[in-house]
Amino acid sequence: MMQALQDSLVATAQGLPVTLAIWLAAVALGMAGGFLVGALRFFAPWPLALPLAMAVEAVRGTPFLVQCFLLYFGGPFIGIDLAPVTAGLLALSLYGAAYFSEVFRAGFLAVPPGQLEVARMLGLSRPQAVLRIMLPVMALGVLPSLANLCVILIKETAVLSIITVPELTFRVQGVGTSTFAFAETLLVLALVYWALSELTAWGARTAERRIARALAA
Amino acid sequence: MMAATWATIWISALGIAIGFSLGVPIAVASARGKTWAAIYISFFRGVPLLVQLLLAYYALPFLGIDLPAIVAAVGTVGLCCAAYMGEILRGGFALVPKGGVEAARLLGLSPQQILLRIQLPIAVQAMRPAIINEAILIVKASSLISVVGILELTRSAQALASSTFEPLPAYALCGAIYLVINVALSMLARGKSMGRPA
Amino acid sequence: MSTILQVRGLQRRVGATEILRGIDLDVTAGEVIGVIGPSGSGKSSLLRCIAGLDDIAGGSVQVEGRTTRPGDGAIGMVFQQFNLWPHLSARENVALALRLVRKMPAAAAAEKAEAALAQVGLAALAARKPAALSGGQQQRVAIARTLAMEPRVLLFDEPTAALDPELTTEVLDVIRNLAASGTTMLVVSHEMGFVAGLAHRVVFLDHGQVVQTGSPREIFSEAAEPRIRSFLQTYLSRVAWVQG
Repeated sequence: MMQALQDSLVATAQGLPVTLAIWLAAVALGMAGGFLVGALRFFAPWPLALPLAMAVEAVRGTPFLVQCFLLYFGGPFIGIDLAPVTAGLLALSLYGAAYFSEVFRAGFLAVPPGQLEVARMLGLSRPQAVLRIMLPVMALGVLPSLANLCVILIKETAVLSIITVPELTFRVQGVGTSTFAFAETLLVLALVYWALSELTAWGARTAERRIARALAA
Repeated sequence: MMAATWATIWISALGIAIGFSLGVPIAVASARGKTWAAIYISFFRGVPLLVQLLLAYYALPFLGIDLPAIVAAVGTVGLCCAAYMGEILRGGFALVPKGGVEAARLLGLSPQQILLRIQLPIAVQAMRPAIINEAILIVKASSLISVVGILELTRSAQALASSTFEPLPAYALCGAIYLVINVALSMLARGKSMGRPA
Repeated sequence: MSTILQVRGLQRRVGATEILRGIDLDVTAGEVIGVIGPSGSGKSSLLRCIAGLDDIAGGSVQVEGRTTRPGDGAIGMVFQQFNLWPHLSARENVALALRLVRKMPAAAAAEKAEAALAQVGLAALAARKPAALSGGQQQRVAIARTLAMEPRVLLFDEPTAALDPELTTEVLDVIRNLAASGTTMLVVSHEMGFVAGLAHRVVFLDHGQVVQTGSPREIFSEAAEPRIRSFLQTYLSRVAWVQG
């Protein structure tokens, strides 16, 4: 049993960096893509906005696991042959982008039109009004949802173990399969994720407060 | 795949029903600041559902609890759903006007009657979009139980993909069916939005 | 006449603040008591303590010799904010306690609810949800809900304060009819004319104490107590200003 625990800790040390790297990359890519999609859906004419809306609904209405299968197993048939890590990162980024885009779009919608009108009345150009007024006002409003999404994405990385991405769940589960010490290894795994979630939630709340103060000051 | 679709629907429905039933006492306990409720919610929301499922399926037998796979799977989905439902309902209970509860007390309703007949219906009404969101999340999350070998929609798509060697149409069809179920569900919610992912 | 409600030395404190400082009150069967006083004088607290909704720091409240507790059926209360249950129709609002507390069969409870609604003139709107009713109609449903349980004493806590002026009449009429039919009641209201015309006795409260108790004439026309005079003057000047 001690051996199994020791092995799971080693596996944790190996898998955790992969989990964190994929998570951080997916948050960065997803947030950038989500901002683009959210802004296009808000500002672009409908022939562009409508297909984006449908794509976002499709991603949000289907399980992440099925999206992973589609990309990883289905991709090669249309010439997208990706290694597990690449496929996993891409899938998680697209998944995150769909949800991030909804947060940003809601943020744009929540900016009171009066604030933009005042800016235009005072002679700011439209790009100036968007850049100087709309974005900062929106940023304040969307912070909590962004933080929340970041925490959710870290749990979603566990699903990537199913397409053999050598992240935390994959590594620790491997120890379980080879030693048959499922109870110990999986318990370690659960505790690591639990700590990770609480830690990122705490970090996200702190960051959110800092950014909010910086924006409001 | 038709049968597997029904399996996904009833497994989700059962998980949601368990989650809702357990969510009520969890919401009450968490509103009263009970530590166990806070720990319960933190654990089931902090650990990936996949890991919870693996725990229930592989680890419980080692502790002498040997459940049929389907019971372990549906139970885990339900327990996890209960944590989210607990949070949603706690928010809903906070929206119930104090006066309505006072009126009920004065008319002689017992605390339990007040909870079930007054507070719960008002809370559910107020939180309907969030509850339907949660239901959609559970339908999507139910795909994970394919991992412990239960034949539902995702598992049947896997089987189809490996027998036809054509994963693309198999998983696309599978995704489309999930989408139809969830669009139908979200039409139940007036302010349709799928909220946070699972 | 027999005393139905007996309040002795009633005290209520919130932190260091004394809300009620020893209230004594005897109400006989069929009596209508008007409770008036400046805002913050403790009128609503008095009713809430009698109903048992707020904890008391001292003293006692007894109905027919028994200490009451909320829900024992002795006391009914009508609130400023109606407090109807939004998920139930008017009929269900009235019938719910009959079914759950009085254990009446559903049909009998519905029938009794209809009768109570008819008593407040709302038989035709029994199937409507509160959101589909005007404020005055909602308050009448709330009165019917309380009446159906046949409490020994009925408390009205500023029943028209949350209503638009044109909707107060219908509610005041219902309360007047109840008073005329011999219902024992305490009414807290800022409608001075209504209180003067309705009450057998008026209690003037200030800073959590009974300043004076007397007939409407004694309080409204003959009171020598400066606090009462100044309160009534402020009130009358406001009415004069509104009407002028």
